Amino acid sequence: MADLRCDTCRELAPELALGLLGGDERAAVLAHLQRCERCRDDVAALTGLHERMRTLVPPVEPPAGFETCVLRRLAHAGLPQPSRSWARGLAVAAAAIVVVCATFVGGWMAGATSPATPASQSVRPELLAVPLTSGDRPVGRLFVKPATPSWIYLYVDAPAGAARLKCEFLRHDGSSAATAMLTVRSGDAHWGGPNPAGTTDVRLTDETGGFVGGARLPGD
Amino acid sequence: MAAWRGASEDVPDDLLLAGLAAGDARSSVAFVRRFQGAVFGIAVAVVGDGRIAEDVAQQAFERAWRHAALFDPRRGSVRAWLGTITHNLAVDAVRARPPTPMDPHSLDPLVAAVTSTPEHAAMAGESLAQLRAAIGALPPSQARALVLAALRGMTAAQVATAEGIPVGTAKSRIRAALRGVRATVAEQEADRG
Repeated sequence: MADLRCDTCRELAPELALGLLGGDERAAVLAHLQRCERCRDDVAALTGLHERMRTLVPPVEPPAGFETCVLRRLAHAGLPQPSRSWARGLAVAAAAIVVVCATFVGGWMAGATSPATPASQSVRPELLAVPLTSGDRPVGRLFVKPATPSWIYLYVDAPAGAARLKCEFLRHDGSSAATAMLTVRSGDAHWGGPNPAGTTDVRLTDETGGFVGGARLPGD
Repeated sequence: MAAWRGASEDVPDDLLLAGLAAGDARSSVAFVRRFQGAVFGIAVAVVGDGRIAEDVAQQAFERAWRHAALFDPRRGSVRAWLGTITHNLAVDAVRARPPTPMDPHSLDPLVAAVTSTPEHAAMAGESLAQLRAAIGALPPSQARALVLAALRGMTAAQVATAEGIPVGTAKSRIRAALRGVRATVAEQEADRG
């Protein structure tokens, strides 16, 4: 198929950005975009507008029970259930819902679907955040939920040219608790997952072993 | 070392999504509660039928959970990402059904909702308020074509049928509308410096 001209691509770009283009036209535009950065930027801008337009749609309160159905669906799909202590802590407030939902997902749904948790049983805030730094320079951010099941989420600016970063989760004695590989996209990378047991520090390096950034987990 | 602590209503969207991905129960509940109105709103706007919209919205949350690792916080907001997921599922649901005639007036509330009004302008951030204003500044026929295509997921041929115009005219209106919005938004951004 002959390459499109830029003016033809610009004419079709709005329909591509709105997801309306199909068949040969779509294939031709996509082939052109592989070779033309200017048209790629144009389509990216229009696609971004489309995404923002969707956020203008006014919210609509879903029918009663929607939240329960979603959480039940996620549980059936394999969303892990929390520890027993979590379910036990919220079980009283959710007693009515337990009757409806216990068959499906047990204690988790009991807590998860409670519309109101008594103040005496509320769980204290437990999300922490610290900057990832290289020297004094912030290069990203790391979030930790320390309570069980603990998890970590981080994002980091990657050095120019880096395609992958190595993230080491280090124990207090400097030994490695776990390692994760991060793929760099558009100059940055992110990772989220369970917090490897014993982690006190996180250290990121590039493919050459060069230090990219690090952080000590809050609370340690 | 400074550390941020917050209740679930203070937790950033991307952190809630990370919690959902990690199987954290509290984050999962908070995530659904925070976004269920937006997700269901998009689903209803596209499919029209409440029961189908409910199924679409549930699918959207499941897909968000399954693909949470693919979300890149530097490339857009969680709200926009989730909106895209919902919209795509809703459009698929509509296209899987036989076409049904559309009441021409059924679109008016949606057009009104996404264009500028004092109430909405006050509720939205500056950027979204400007986007509303840009859509509101379009000729009404273009604004309708854009809303049908961008938010209802209609093809140019379907817009043509709904509006009683030739397909070529529908395409022209859609293209001109999105280009017009982009030009207005770019001007606004340039003015802001």
